Amino acid sequence: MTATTTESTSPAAQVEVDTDSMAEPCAAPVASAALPALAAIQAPAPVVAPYLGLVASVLCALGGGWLLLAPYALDIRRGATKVPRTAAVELETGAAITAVALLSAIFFAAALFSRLRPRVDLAEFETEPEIETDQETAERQAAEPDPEPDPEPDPDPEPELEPDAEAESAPEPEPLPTFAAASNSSRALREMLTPLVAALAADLRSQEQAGHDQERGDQRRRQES
Amino acid sequence: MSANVPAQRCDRIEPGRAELPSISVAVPRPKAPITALTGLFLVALLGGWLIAAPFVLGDQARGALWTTATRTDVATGAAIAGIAILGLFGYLAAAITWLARYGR
Repeated sequence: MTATTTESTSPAAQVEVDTDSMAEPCAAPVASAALPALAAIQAPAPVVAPYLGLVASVLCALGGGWLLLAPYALDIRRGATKVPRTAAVELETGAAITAVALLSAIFFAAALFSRLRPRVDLAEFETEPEIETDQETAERQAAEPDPEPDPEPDPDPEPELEPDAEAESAPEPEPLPTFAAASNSSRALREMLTPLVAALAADLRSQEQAGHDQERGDQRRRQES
Repeated sequence: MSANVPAQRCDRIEPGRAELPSISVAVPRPKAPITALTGLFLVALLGGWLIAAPFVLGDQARGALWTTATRTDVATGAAIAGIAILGLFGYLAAAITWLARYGR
């Protein structure tokens, strides 16, 4: 099966899909052509850096906790009633290190969670109207009951548009609303896929139209014979 | 010196960069956790203070055998300062790596 579609509405977004050539070794350039764009779209958030900071902060907090316990665990007081200055320094410094390290860990964790949060708000997709292709429109119109059916169906209706002309008159994708900077990747992906879907729908319609034309030609030949 | 160009494997011409769909994705650059980094730097300074405290405060006599408290202070302070500095440099390295790969 050969499904070669070309979207002529936007010259910058001309993409050719040839399923026959996928098995050939020369299909690699076409497949690799989309890789830079996909790599740019799927740029991950920098999570390694705050993760390292979080790990370091937690380890430092554990070290500070050890400093709080050390005067008692190692018996530095040695039975003295008053805490010696060495132990006091250890306790004070340990408390300070524990507090600062825990605060740092909290801030690093907040930064990590904010970067792990999905950048695209799902509510925008739910409220955004879906782009309807030709095939979906035809299916919807076929599903709706016709309020005024024709009393006498036309035996030989006029042929519709030529497949090429119909492919050219494929609906131009509506310009998508401008998203926030956080949804740039999804918008770019949608802009790249919308002309492909529209061209595929136009190609399917043209194939169906060609099948209908062939059936009509066969009927005419039978009537003439 | 002549360039050795391999033979093309098929007749298809590889599409040029201008023919590819142009997608300009502005990767949002997140804010750096300045407060957390400052805290980690303070922890490193406290670790340094912990190393120097027995000698600065005069609790450890010069030339004498180190006491248990001095050994604990120096070992724990070195560990804490080392971990904090490693965390800072790790954060810096990871951030520079991300910027080199995805930043503009």
